[in-house]
Amino acid sequence: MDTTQLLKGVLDVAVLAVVEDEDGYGYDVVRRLRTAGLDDVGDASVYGTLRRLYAGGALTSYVVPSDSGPHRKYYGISPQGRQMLETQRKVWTDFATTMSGLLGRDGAAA
Amino acid sequence: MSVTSPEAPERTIAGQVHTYALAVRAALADLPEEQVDELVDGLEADLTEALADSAGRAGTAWPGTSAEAPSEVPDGGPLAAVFGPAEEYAAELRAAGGLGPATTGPETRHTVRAAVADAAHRAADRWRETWAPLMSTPGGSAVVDFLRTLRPLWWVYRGWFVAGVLWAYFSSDRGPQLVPESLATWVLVLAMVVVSVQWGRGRWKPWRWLRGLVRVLSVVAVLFGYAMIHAAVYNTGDAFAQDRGLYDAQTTAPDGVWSGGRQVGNLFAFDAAGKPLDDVRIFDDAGEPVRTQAFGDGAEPTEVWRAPGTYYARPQATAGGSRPTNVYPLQVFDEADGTWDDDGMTFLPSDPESVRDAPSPFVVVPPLEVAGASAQAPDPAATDDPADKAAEAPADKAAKKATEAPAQKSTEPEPKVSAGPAEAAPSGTPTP
Repeated sequence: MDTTQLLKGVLDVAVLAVVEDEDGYGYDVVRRLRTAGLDDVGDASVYGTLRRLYAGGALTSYVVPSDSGPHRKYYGISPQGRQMLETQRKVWTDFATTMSGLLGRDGAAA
Repeated sequence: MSVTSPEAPERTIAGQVHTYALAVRAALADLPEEQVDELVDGLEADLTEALADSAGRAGTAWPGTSAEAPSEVPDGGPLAAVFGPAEEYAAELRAAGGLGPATTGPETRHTVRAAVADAAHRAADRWRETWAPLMSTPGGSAVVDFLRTLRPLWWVYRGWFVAGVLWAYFSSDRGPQLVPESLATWVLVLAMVVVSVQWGRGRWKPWRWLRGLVRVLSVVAVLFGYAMIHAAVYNTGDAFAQDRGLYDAQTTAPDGVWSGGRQVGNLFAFDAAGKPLDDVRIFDDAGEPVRTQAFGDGAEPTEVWRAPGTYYARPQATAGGSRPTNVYPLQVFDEADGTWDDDGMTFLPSDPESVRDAPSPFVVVPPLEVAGASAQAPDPAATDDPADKAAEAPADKAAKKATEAPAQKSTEPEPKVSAGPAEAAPSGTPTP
């Protein structure tokens, strides 16, 4: 299965999860996602997702100048974002359990 | 995208990144400014770092990515090789950002307008970089966040400003007002505020040139804001002051004695028995002598009850001698008997003989019930006095009011010795 299709549905919660403990700028978030194993995530998709979450109030944003080169835009999670993350965690856990049960049985039967 | 420009910045990594970011921006040009900023702000830093990472992954394929030593990059758009065409990158940003697909092609970036827009973006970038050290501090970003929440106020103000300009231009009425005073102004202001707010929210900007107009308008609204607000406050304050007569109160503080909204020219006192009193000295609660003549003592004619002709009160200011200025009733003289003093400021009786007591509006008044026995019944002798003070009219009234009707019509003042308190004629009172 193409993971990019799966990613689309969970990118929001994935982004929220990697900025939950520590604020991050755009590429920083991309790197954290890749480090976590989401190799196929696209830079621009992450940036766009950050923008959308920010516009929706789930993230806060501030700009930090760089010693060398252009400034960086940092994102942090907002209380609303934390709430969203908690809800989605439950949804995901339920879903993943269901899918695991479904696929595991199928796999065992095969 | 074009990277063949011979300009030095174009060949550095920073220049490449900037060019790529501008191309992405251009591909998003149909979106409202703020949304583009949200999408693209910080993009250059991200691109630079992503480039370094990709170079690291690719070994030595991408040398010289250290920021302190910008190196040459080959033609052909290495960023496009890493990130794909700027247009596709922008499309991905747009889609992930929850924004609709592009409505205009990216080909417009080669026009003069695009060049101007690029220059504006560069200027904006420089402006941001100038303030970045301040804005990126916790306090600075808190201030920015706070100001951002105030943006709706700015939109409302901008609408009000535009309405004010339109109103001043098309109406011969008064200038801008803080709060609209007519239905038409209300409609105009509300309409402009709605348009301005919609602009601020990134709506209602169907034509590209309109965006430029909005920007120009905003600058004008800032530059001329003070003048507009000042004029509006002045107009509004003016209207309020006029409505409530504040100006009159401030410019001409009323002097003299006022009663029932009318200035009092003379005062008449009566004793407990109802008999008129002559030469009564009156003081106010502060111990100051009460003077009915306000300004220009003796320069204004005074009315004498039912006596035709023009009369002047003896000027209180120049009562002179031992006669105080607060003795009532005031004495009057005919205009024909008066003359202006040397200064031309005061109208004086030319002949002291012509000054006489002002006639009282009442010959007698009902006695006070609590008065002593002496006040119970005014005897005719006590009431014959007032009648002779009038030219002729008060005597008629006296005839009706006072049953004894002495009707002694006398045309010259005769301080009669009577039961009244004015027994000893003051020095200022002319005696026959």
